[in-house]
Amino acid sequence: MTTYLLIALNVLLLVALLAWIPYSIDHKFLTPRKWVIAVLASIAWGVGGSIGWFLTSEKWAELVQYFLDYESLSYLVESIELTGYLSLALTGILAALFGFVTLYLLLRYLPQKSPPPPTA
Amino acid sequence: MDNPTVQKYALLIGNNEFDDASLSRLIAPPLDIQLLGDLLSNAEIGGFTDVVTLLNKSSADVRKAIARFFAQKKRDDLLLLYFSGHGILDDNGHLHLAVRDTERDLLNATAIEASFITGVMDRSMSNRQVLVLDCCQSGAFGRSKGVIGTSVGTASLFEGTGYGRVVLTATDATQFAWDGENLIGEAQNSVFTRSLIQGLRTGEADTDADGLITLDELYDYVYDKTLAETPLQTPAKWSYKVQGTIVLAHNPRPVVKPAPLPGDLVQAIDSPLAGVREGAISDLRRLLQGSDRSLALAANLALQKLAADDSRRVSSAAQAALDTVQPAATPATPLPAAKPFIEPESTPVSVIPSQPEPETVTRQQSAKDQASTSWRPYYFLVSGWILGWFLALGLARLFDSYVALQLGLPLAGVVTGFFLGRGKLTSRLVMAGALGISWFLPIYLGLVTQIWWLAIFGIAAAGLVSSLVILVYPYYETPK
Repeated sequence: MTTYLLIALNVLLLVALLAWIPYSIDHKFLTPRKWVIAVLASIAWGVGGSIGWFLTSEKWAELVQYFLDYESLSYLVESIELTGYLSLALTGILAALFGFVTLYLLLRYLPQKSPPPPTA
Repeated sequence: MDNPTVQKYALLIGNNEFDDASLSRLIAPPLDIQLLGDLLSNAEIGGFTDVVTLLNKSSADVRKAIARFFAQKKRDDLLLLYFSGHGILDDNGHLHLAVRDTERDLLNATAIEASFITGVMDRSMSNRQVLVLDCCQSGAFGRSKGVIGTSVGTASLFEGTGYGRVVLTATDATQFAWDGENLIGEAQNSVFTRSLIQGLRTGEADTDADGLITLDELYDYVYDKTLAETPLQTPAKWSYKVQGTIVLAHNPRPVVKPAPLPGDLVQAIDSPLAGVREGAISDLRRLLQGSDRSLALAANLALQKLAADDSRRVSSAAQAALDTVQPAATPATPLPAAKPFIEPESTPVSVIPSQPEPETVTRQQSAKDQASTSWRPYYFLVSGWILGWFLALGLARLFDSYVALQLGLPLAGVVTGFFLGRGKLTSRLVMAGALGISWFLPIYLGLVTQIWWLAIFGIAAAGLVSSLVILVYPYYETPK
């Protein structure tokens, strides 16, 4: 039950943010460009989190074990099987790393407007 | 180019009344030479040292004046001889300029033959000679030869042996033919000279907008204007051994080109960080008020760009700068209609290369400060996020409790949001609440459900809120 409530809360949060888009643009809190940047950055968070989740999962450990079938590397495989807390923390930090770097790059390189026409 | 030590002389000859009744009276020459003379002698435009005008003088007077004009001049002196009137080809095809006492049957004795002018120009020391002929060309005895449209051969007539000679003509072709004692053909007002005067007076001939009107620019301007007005005249130009560019006048209303802004200022304007862009506005405002019109124009354009900036803070500041500062230069606008009298309205300004501003160090320091200010939300969020995880892990280990783990990250989010939101308390609370809730979701969803896509769903939501906090931060920042 709690899980469903949390999922609903998450959905509600996203819906509220989406509903805020026109208001934020009208009142110049944000611009369409910034919204695009924010959505792309959040996707980067998701991608980073997915990678982090996978890298700290048992599946990854199994995969490593499959490809690196050496006795000497067994310690590495064991170390990857992290505890739940640490696994989640690494997932979150990797997600944030992806997200913030993406955000910076988008702000830096996504053009603000089309270039102005040449002046006389 | 425009050497102030070089002397410039002009002799303007006009003839509109003739003793010979077969030569039709002209309208334009008196006004042509008056207006052109005023323009050339105007210190703000032509800046000619000496301008002499001759209207309806006898052939003897004109010959003497021409000879005197080209004599005893220095090598670098600019000599401009202008003639407005009839040009007549004799039976041998030699061009003569008709003056008051010219008789059509005695052209050799009573008109100014082109070869006379060429000879005088050849003997002159000056190597910067400009001859401008605004003639209604015609053949003198055209029953057999004087066909309209025949070339008068200007190219060879004035070539001579001299150096640095330019000849401009309203047309190189005959426009009139004789029918018995009367001229036939369509008479035109002096479109050529009118365009020439307009180009000088309005500065429109300064096509490269460098504040100087060169002879080439003036010719190009007159050529286009004349052709646009009448198909009967095709202006022509011949240059003989000319070295360098002949600057004829200054643009009385220079349309200044924007100069390149200093490099660090351009970087600040293009910075992705709103604070840095805002920091550039004060520098742009100073340039806008400066005496360098080129830089002022560049600053004006940059401020217009920033006025449409994504950041509300930047756009407001840029607009305020544009509103409060009276610009020294504005983008090019159409010039007002020409006035009948020559009264230059502004001091000509030459475009000078942009120089580095003396306060570069101050500006760099300012940009640095602005940059550190704008990194504030990044620092806070990244630090808060990482410390939140450490806090969560520490609490979980300390209390050996899932609840402690779940509280760590949202607690860090609340603190981060509260300190990040400067200014009003409501902005602090909004940011604290947004970060607290969004940072709570991923860890709880991940831990409770252990379903990867739900955990990622929560992480993406946290990322969206965090990104928005960074992006909306400039709006909440306290105005300085």
